[in-house]
Amino acid sequence: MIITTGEIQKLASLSRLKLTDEETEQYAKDLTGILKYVDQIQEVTEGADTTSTAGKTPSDFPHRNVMRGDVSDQALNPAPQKLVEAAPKHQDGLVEVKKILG
Amino acid sequence: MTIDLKTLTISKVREMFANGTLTSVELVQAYLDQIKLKDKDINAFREVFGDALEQAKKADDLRKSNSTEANSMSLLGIPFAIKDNMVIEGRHAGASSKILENYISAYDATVIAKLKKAGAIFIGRLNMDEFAMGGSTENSAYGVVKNPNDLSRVAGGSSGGSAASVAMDETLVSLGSDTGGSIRQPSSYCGVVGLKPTYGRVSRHGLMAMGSSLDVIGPIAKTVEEVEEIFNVISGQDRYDATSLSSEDVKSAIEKSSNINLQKLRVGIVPELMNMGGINPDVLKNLNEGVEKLRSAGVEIKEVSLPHIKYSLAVYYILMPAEVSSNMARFDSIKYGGKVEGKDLLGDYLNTRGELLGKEVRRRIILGTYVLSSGYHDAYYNKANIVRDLISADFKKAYEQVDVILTPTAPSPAFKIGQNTSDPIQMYLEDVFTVTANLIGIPAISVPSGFVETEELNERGDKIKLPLGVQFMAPLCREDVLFTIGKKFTEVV
Repeated sequence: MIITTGEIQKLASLSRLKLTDEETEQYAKDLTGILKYVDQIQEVTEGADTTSTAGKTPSDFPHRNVMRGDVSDQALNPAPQKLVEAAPKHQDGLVEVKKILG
Repeated sequence: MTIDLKTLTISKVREMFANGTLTSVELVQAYLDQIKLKDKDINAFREVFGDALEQAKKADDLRKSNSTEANSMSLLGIPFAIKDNMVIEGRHAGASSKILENYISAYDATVIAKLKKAGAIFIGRLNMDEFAMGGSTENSAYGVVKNPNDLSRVAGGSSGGSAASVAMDETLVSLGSDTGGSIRQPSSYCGVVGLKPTYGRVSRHGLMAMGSSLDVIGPIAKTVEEVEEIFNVISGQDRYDATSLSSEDVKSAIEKSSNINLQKLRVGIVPELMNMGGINPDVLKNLNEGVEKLRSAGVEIKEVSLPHIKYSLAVYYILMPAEVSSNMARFDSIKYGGKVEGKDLLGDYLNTRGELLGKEVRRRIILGTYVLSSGYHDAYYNKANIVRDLISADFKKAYEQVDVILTPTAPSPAFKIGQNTSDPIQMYLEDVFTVTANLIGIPAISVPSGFVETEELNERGDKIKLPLGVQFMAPLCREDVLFTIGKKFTEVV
């Protein structure tokens, strides 16, 4: 499969990355090569009917749900003020963003 | 005083601390001197902490107090250096990326909190591939880490700084992270020991996420004993990391391999992996020699078949970028790190991510976005997870016949800087032996296995020798098997 520069532009827009024309061409070439390599997994025909653990940790792994009460836990949110201060723009203890509504 | 840093280990340092022949201040000063002397060539450190000596002084004072607290600290005054993707409260942490250049952490990673509790001190943070994406540290925004054995070669990656700093005696020990081989491969290239623990045995709270079903933190040191000791300190369930394993989880995993006899370990080798091509002949020869030495020492060697392992790298280069594309979404120019202004909010995103994330990071985000996109999701992401299960089943079967599996750590010794930068697939192939352990969660260790002599000469006119490493892979939660066979291998090689 050949990945076109048009597809790269679409993917870059979906993933919020500004690319130069040169980078777009380079990534089209790179992705075509990488997908050609990873496509070898299509040879595998076994396991197609499995209820795979797709998207989870490996199948032989000890699985369990981890739950906690829906309560505010200061220990889980250390120093909120310090976290706000890590934002590139903040004012009066609030994170500053550009307006999103017209 | 002069200290022979080359032969120092944690237990030796502890002994010297106890009998008064060494202080933590003297030890840290020796490492600072070594960094000053060597690191402009090696580039392992992103930052040397200005208060390293102060921390050492505090540790020395605490030891002199002879208090119960001091005596309970197993790593009191022991210097660590930390990969730049783990956070320490009040200090910069940047994952060697421009996007986090000015970021200061508000909290300690759990591994850091555990090391602090044990009395360890931190002398600096270590260079790496940007966000741990790479196998050579050539993707660092702050320059490549050079191999201590040959400055024209890479130290490996992504934990290149963690391996090179230990090999160069710029720190006693270090922490790295491993998503597809990032602890083991640089350890192999630099001639040190690196452990990738079982998925979930070490908390990742405070580690910058790359591939969340793959990432794990582990130690790098000169000896298996030290790696074992650090693992024992940093492992354990953590309420801040829901994927960390409870003691019951660990117990139930160990029960599944309870037939293992540590005194009589059976080692498996995988002919189909060795015969697939693309492996440097010196590496193959070195592995075969290692196998023979183990056999002569009375270790049982058996051939096992892992029919789907040849797909591991392809599976990895689908799942990992998919997870990367999700994890990297948090770098939005709003919550933390750098910002490049645009004309509106969308412009902020596009500019910041486009300009402050490096080439390989963006390549993986785009690849991950592609394999997860509608229409391709089944063919790539779901298919890869099915094959991942088949690989896991192969190992389960193999572990009925053997207790641990032996491979080279990497298909070649350290390569030349720039050699693989224009071809991402060639670069990815360096991970061919290491990615499987991450895919199926099992623990693996890289142990030095001698050197290969090159035809090139160093500045003294001697032929340059490059270190090689072998990798052992054990069943889930059987790090004890790795430590046992790792020590045995070190003895016989």
